[in-house]
Amino acid sequence: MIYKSKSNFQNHPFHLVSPSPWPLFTSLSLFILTTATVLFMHGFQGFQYLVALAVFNVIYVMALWFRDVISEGTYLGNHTNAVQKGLNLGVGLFIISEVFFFLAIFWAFFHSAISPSVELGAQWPPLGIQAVNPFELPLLNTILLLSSGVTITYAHHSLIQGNRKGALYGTVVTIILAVIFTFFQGVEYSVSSFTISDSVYGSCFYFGTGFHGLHVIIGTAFLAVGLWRLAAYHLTDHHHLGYESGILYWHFVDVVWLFLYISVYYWGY
Amino acid sequence: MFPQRNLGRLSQRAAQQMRSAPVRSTIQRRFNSAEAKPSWIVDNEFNRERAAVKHHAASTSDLWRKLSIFAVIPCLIGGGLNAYNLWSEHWEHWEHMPPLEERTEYPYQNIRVKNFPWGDGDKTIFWNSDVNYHNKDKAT
Repeated sequence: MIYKSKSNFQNHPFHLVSPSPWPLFTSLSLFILTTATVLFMHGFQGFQYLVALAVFNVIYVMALWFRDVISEGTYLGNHTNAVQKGLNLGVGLFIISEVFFFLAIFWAFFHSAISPSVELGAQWPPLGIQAVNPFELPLLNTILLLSSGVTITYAHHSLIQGNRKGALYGTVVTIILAVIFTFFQGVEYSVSSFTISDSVYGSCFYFGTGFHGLHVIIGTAFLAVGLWRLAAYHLTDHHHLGYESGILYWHFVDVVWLFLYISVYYWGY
Repeated sequence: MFPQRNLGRLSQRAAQQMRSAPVRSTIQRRFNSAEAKPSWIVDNEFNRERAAVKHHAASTSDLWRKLSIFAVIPCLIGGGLNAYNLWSEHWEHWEHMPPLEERTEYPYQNIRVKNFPWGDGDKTIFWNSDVNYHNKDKAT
């Protein structure tokens, strides 16, 4: 090969990223978000608008960044096997960081629940707090989440097999189950006899289930993007890293729910 | 006459070539077909592993399809009925409980330190007046 045409090829499998505005924009949006949230929480007038704007900004910049990543992976062929390995590792590390986020929440719960203080009547749930019956909506929600795990596995294996219909149907059913879960959590929140300001029980309960619910919504969006890319023929039977990451994230959310169900709902009843 | 004859022969030869195996497989490639092993796939370790994964997925996806239909649907129906019964029982029981104002409010309940930044500043998100006691003395 002559020198000139040789220079058109890279002799390594890695993706040397081109200059992009999104890291800077993401940092700025996150900085504004944290600053505005702190000021808002300290009662500075009108800062709720800056918080809302910053949340919008963070989501918007993330969407633009992910859009670029999708172009690089799907159309520009930058996601070689080596690059996929790196991205996979990144997703794994992100999920590990999420595990520790929830570990802290569980720590707060067990700190208060294992030895409830005298002021609470030395019992858990504290006197006067009527906990949610774990065999009612929470059990149905457990079934819903475990079912969504089954249907997404069907979708994933169908995709690997090359069965487009199965992959599409499986993902659609999973997203429907996820939305029903979120709906029932909303129902449970609005009929619960205790609020977030009813003792440390209420705080820990809504702290844990609230952040879990937020993660369910994010996971649903993750899977919905996977569904769109599946429908748009972005994914192949062996290259679907975003979709697979969404599934991994969904299983993580599922497992967090199982821990919540066992310790907060069942054991704490 | 000469160029025409030549053209005829050329088209004959072209038609013959189109029927030959390598050309046909190139121009009639079916990129999305379920053909077991397309002719352009080389026999090497990478492709063998990929074929094995795909082959394995066929049986596992069938298992998960059966589970999705014959395990998930009955479980959802059972869980739904159970939740519905307990839900009705719960509200039946709730009706026979004393009104919210007459229940003991412990000092750690309805904590108000400063206004919530939404609504009238006194009610939590997901507030439901039917089940949440509104202590007007604690409003800040």
